[in-house]
Amino acid sequence: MTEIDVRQKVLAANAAAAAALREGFLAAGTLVVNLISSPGSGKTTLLEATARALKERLRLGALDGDIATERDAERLRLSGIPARQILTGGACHLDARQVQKALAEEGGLLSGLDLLFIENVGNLICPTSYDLGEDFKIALLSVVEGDDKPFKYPAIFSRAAVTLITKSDLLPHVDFDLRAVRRQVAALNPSGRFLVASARGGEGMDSWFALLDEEIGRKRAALAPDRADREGIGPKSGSPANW
Amino acid sequence: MPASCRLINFGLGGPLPGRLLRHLHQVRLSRGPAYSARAKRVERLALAWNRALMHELGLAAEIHRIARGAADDHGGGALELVTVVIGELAAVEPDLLEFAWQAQVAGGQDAGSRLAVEWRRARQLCASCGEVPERAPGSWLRLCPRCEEPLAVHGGDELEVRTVSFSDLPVAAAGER
Repeated sequence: MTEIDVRQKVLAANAAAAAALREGFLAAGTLVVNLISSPGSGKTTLLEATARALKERLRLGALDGDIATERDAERLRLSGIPARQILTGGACHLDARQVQKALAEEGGLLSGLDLLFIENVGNLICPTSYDLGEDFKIALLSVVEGDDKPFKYPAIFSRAAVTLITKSDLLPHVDFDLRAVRRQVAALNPSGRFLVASARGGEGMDSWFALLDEEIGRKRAALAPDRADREGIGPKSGSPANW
Repeated sequence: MPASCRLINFGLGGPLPGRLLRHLHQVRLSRGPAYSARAKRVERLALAWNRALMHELGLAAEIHRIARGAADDHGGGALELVTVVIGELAAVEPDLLEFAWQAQVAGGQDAGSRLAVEWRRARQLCASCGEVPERAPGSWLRLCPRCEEPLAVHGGDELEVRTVSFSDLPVAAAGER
């Protein structure tokens, strides 16, 4: 028998694909947000409202991970932004290679965006482990899911840069202690940001849009200055490398 | 936490998920002469339920790919023991990963190989209190339990193949035995 030292990260292949994606997104100045939550917490509804509010002034697009049906991508296309469904055929999360493949197949439609949303498969656990080349993860938690969830699913709430409490218009109808949730998230993720919004009622959405604008500004500032000047906010040419 | 992942996927896969789960547990626990027949059955079931245990199976498949590649690079034969380092904040449950490993290698050239998990704790440092001793098992808190200041957390997120042991007989020769 022979024993050898390997010392290789288990998710090295995913990490390499994610690094290539990140490089491409950086070169294109595209802010990428990976949305993770339980099924039914309102990811697609949030994106529909975001598309309606921002599509006139920002180039938006979305990738939608689901086990089955094209429904989410169709909803977002109806909201006026390009969207592509990634069907995982049962897998509980998206991985970076699926994102690479989807972007390659979509050609130019999802390149040169200001903001690309990656709506992960509805699941608070598995997507947490897979880097998709995003700028940050956002965890959504709807007020009907219960106020104990950050401590019950700590991995995602400690890794997501932003926690967004959704369906806040339902707060008067449910026992959901917002302060307790805020304390849990702060204990898991002291530097994380915490937002409360209702995509249906509109409350809190301005803070969400302001956060996106701020992050897009940060991403643009990271582009080489001459390139940012040259391209302004007009359509960008060419595809990012490595897609 | 991966247990929930497993349940989600079983829930989507069709009827009688509990039966498969119990069967896989039996297979894992049985190391007697019936093992290879059972391993074949596991493989068949795993193919039919190929989305079950997705989180751990996905990781087990990556570990197998890395370990098999390392053995092939050295002209080695069947895998015998693969050690992986898992941190307490890696969101991976060692038992379920070992279980998924058996499903991953069942019926193939590496059937019967073992996966061993080295568990790693995270270190946490508080700016005012210094090093904070071990966190409670399963806790992900990042506030100092004494002064409630944010903790700097080091390590604990390891998910790495550490060593691979394999037979010196080439795979083909081992298959002819």
